[in-house]
Amino acid sequence: MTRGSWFTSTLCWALVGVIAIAVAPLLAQYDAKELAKPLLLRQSYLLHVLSLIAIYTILAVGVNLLMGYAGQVSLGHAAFYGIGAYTSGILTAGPALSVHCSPLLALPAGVALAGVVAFLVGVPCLRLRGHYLAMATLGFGWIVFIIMQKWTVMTGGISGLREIPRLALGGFAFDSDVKWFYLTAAAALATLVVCANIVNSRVGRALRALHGSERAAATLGVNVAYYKVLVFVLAAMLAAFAGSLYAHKVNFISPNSFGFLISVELVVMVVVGGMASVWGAVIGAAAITLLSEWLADLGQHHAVFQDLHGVAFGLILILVMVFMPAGLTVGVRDLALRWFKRRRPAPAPQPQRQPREVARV
Amino acid sequence: MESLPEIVQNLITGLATGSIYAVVAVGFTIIFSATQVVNFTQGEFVMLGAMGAYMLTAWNWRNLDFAGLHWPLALAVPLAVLLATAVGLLLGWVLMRPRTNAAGPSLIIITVGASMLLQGVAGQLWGKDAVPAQPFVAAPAFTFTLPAALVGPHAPPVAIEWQQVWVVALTLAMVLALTLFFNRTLVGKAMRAVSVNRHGAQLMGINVSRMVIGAFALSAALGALAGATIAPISCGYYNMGTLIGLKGFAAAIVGGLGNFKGSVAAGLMLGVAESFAVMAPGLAEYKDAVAFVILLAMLVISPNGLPALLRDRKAAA
Repeated sequence: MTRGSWFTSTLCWALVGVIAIAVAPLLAQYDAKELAKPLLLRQSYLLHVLSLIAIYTILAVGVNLLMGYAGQVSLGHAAFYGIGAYTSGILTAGPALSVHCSPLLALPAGVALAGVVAFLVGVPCLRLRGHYLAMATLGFGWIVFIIMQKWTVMTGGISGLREIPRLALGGFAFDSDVKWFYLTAAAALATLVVCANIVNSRVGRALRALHGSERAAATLGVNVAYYKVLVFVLAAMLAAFAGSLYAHKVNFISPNSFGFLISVELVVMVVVGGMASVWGAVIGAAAITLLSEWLADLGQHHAVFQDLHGVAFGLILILVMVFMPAGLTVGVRDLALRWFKRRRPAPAPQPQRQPREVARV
Repeated sequence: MESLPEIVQNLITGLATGSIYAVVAVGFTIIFSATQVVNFTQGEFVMLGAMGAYMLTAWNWRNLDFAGLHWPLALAVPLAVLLATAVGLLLGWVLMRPRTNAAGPSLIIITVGASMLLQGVAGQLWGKDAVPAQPFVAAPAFTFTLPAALVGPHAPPVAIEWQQVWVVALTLAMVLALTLFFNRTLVGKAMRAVSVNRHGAQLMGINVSRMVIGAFALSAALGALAGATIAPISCGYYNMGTLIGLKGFAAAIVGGLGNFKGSVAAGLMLGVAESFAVMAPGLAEYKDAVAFVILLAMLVISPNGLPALLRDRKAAA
């Protein structure tokens, strides 16, 4: 792809995003009045879900950089999400501190802490070839989860932290659902544009190269360990950013929002949205957040359907990975392309040179 | 300073839990050797063994007692192991389908998905509460006091549960049987050949995918037997597999992933370390984190495990 074309495509996507963000609250209002479905009854609920989707988009983009582009599975990413949220929560409303700082300071502090922790965890694990990272991050996620639960003095234990203040920029306080929707959506869109640019840069090419074959990438002069650690730290910082936003949005955090299930949920989002597809992360985040909310709603009304998240996520993971290893959206797109090609009347058969199979390194 | 009887007591508890970690670690090792895949479903096999045996001895579907399913343990445990083995076969088959043969993160994600699915189904079927499993021997714990010369006249006695004896004995039996299987039988040797060189084994006429599926079935059976024996001590619950699986993996890494004896030794050590952590002031709360700290530390110091580290030291000296 030439430089010009991706620039225009990014611009187009960004424009589409801006329009979607501007229109969504109106749609929400319209839906609430016209359709009056039980789930959509309250406009504030719909806006809350849309904000959640935006927050999860930030998370999913980070995990997708790591998983889809660099080929590293992280099963403890919710830990970084939690580090962001808890740093924000503790600094602005922690019971152990007598002086509470402003959310505007707490947010970058959480992001920085997550970056440092990711660096410390990532360096030893990512030097190794293969899939040590999956297990190491899973263990790391558990450690963080246990600390959140047991270090009651700091984190409030199982009951969590309450009364986390909302963000305020100068005199402008983000105190309504609509404002929060615009804030989170703008943050998500900015993340998407930045990540789309990273993917199309030297770093992105290096990541894709090492996904194909670490050894081949190293032969071509790609510093494999450096790029893997870089993308891991970046993904962790994005997660912490999302976590901090979440904490300031819902004003209350407890360990269960950052457990193993959330880490798996992030992987499901990437799997559904498509590997190595930045904009697919939006689809993945939206689909899984809606599914998750719907399942929770279903469980509230019918006891039989309680706690079906694990079953649903498990089935999605298995089915998508078995039949479409590149992810759902990418797989469906490829299917559709193939179908259209077959439908089109075949052009005059020209002797084509078969691309020779390249030997695996 | 802790008293000696307490240390001995914790050592015994640690050895029993460590045996389970050892079996799970061996399961990881078997599958990793055959496929280079870290199998996240390993812990779920343990859960299936524990819950399956419970289901057959005291079927209680959401407090809806099905009369007539109070099978004796001697029948229930093998059946539970068979059930888990069937699940292992299925998982191995799914992973070995030609289309999914594309290695990389997708295989790991499939095992994560299978783990979530099994946990979810177990939660639906058997409920979220811990279930009391029936011990193999109804006799009370075996108690003894350490020699008075060592601990003084008024030392508390040390107790050994019969179930703990069962756990350790069955683990030893499994390790012995596996050693014989891998060294003496044709199938076992073929499996080892696959783990040494997949391509070479295929050229020698070994059906690689059948061996891989067999490896899954074997480690599922091992895990399930371990689960059925540990359940009376630690209770069975639908998501017990996550933690046990992770700790078993930590043991497998410490023992050097793919190293059979190393896995067993590391599992026992991990169990004892965890059990001793309870004695340290302030550490009891974080008992579950011990395994992961050891895992991360091991990945930092020597990712190829303790045996490799010791070997390197010896070579350097």
